Amino acid sequence: MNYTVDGTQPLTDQENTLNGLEMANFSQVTKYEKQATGTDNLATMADAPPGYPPLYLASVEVGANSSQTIQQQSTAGRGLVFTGTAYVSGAAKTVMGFRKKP
Amino acid sequence: MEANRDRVKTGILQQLKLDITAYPFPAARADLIHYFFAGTLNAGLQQLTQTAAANAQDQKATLNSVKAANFSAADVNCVTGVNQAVAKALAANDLGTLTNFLQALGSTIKANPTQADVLTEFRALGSRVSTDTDLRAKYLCGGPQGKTHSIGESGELYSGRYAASNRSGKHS
Repeated sequence: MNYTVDGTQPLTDQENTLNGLEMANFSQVTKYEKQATGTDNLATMADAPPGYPPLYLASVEVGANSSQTIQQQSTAGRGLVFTGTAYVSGAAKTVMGFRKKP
Repeated sequence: MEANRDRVKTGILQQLKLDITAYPFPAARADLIHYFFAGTLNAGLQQLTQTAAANAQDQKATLNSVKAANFSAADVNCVTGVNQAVAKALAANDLGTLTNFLQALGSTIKANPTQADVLTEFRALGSRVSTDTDLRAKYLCGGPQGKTHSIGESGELYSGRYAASNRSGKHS
């Protein structure tokens, strides 16, 4: 099952919703991108075992360099699991998902 | 086909800025051949097929989706606690507790289930919890006193008249 998430929400709220979906469904988000119409984002899910590590989101402007963000997350021990263009507070951004290795 | 040719042409023009060692004649000749075939009907049809397949995949993912009800930070803390409690019970092969929890929340699970059966039912319940906020209130520790089905002080699952207070929080 995949889920659409309200893209008018700020990134922190979307992160909460994605983590809630992952934990409730015992799954992981593998892709997160804006839908062709409207302001929702589509989260593509895959099964994950119970106790899977949480997801952290970060965003940069579309076309901006994301290497600094990736480096910061790497320092915190988290690797990039997906990147895509999604709506954050109603505007298109490059959104990246990070998590610690299970 | 035009877009296909333009893409190849752009690549050639970018490579032309390189010196002869980085972009030798055989590489340029191969690119020119590629440029020629990029304009053929076959290449155009192939490109069209690939684009249509990618679009169809996106449409299928969208059709197979439902709108999620937003999760608050407190919801995430609780649902993480339930997830961890399930992990703990599965590790201990305590399927009875998990089955009781599922049944208390209306899930139909067969007698003597395997771990895979239990996890499948938890995923089905989680799917409903993701869109049904009333059911979520019962699933999480924020449910009405005495009617909640949630996690205990030491992270175990309860399916009866307990007021769970475990707020495990987002683990780091």
